[in-house]
Amino acid sequence: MNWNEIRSTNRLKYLLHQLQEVPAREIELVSSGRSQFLEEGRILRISETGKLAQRVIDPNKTISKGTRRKTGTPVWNGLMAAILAVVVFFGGTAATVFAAQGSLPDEALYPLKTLSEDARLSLTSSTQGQLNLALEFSDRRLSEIAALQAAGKPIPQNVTDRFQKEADFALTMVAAMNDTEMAQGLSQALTRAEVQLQIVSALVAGHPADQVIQAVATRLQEQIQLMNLGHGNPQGFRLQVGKRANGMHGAKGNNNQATGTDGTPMPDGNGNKPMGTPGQNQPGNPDANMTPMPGGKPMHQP
Amino acid sequence: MTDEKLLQHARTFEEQALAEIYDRWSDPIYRYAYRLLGEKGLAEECVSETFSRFLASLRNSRGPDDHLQAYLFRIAHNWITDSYRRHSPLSVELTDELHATAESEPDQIVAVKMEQQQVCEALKFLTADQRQVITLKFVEDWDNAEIARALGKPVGAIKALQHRGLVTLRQVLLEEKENKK
Repeated sequence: MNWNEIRSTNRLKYLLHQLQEVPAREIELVSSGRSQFLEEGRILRISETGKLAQRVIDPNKTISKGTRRKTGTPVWNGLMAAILAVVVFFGGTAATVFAAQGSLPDEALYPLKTLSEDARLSLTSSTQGQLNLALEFSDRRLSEIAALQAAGKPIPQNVTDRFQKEADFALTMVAAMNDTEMAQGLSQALTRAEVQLQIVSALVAGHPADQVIQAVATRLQEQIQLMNLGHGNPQGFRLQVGKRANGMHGAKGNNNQATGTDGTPMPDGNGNKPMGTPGQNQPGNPDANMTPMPGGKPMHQP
Repeated sequence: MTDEKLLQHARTFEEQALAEIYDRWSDPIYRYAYRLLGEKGLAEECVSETFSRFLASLRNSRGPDDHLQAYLFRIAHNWITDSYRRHSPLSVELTDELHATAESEPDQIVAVKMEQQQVCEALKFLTADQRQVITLKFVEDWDNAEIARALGKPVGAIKALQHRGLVTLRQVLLEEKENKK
């Protein structure tokens, strides 16, 4: 180093600039750090949804804040307009519809909430879009379960049933993707399921005698195992999901009338449900026997 | 996507927005932390803690409305300042990856590494604020306004820290030269 040059600020700045390069990060650390951050985000998202539900439980608190998040997008507004028409027809009001979005399963407006979810699914045509919705709705169910448990209320079987069906529907959507899309879909669903399992495990720990929650945990573990299989064996995953769907369907019978376990009417799938509708193209699903909607019934349907 | 849009989506913890934030700023924060902390593990810890604190601020309805980069670096800045207290004295180690390009002659590589080592050693003598201002200004190439936002100080204070930092650096390097005579 020319020490006389140190007296020059420019030389000093040049020397500092030389420090720009740093050793490369380890890819594994970057990946795990990123996953951890996104998982924290997911947990917070679920937690916030739970708070939303809690706010509706408390009659002293307004629902307006909780429903604000639902009013922003044009798609949502359009959907709400359609539902509003139905509700008004049956004697409801706009406030009824909005309030329903934060309702819990033991509340009168809850069926309207599930109805609106079904409507959103019906209006979504892409497999990826349906997967996103199924995952979002399963998060909602979990938030409802957590909110009910926090309030010391019993958890209705129909809510856990619906949660499981939404999670199964997500798997079916992943199975309907081509191999490339499936890898991404699997990662998305797997990460979500792992976070959900953490939450359910915490609920089980809080109420070890609760058989309903325990069953949810078991089912989630099975789904996670299945998704891990899918990463190495896409075709095997599709077959397993197909068997699982057929088994579930067989156990429930083959009712074409769509009615939720909570009595909520659900879409009949005749042209409204893209997946599995006979004659509808399912790109990337090479296994015709794995049509994820046997009997023309939507998989998310109880 | 703009900072404002990203933050708007991040406030509801939307995965896509959070992923974009991480992908955009985790590397710059890592490099910044590494230069100031001189250790890969600590730099990764800084990244992890910075993003975790960012989520916590969103959860508590705090956080910025824009200038996300400045906000994240400010969190990192605070973490690094705390780290100085926990892990003093600062130990900056240089690796062979630093400027040892294939075109360099062995004697040039050695000379460059020595220069870098001396500058890194000299940085230890700066205060935490001076070191961060100098690093952001001359290594990260930020302008004074950005640094001011990141460190939560007025631009005038940043200029003063920068001036004092350079004076100290020059002084330390000259003293080192005198001692080696």
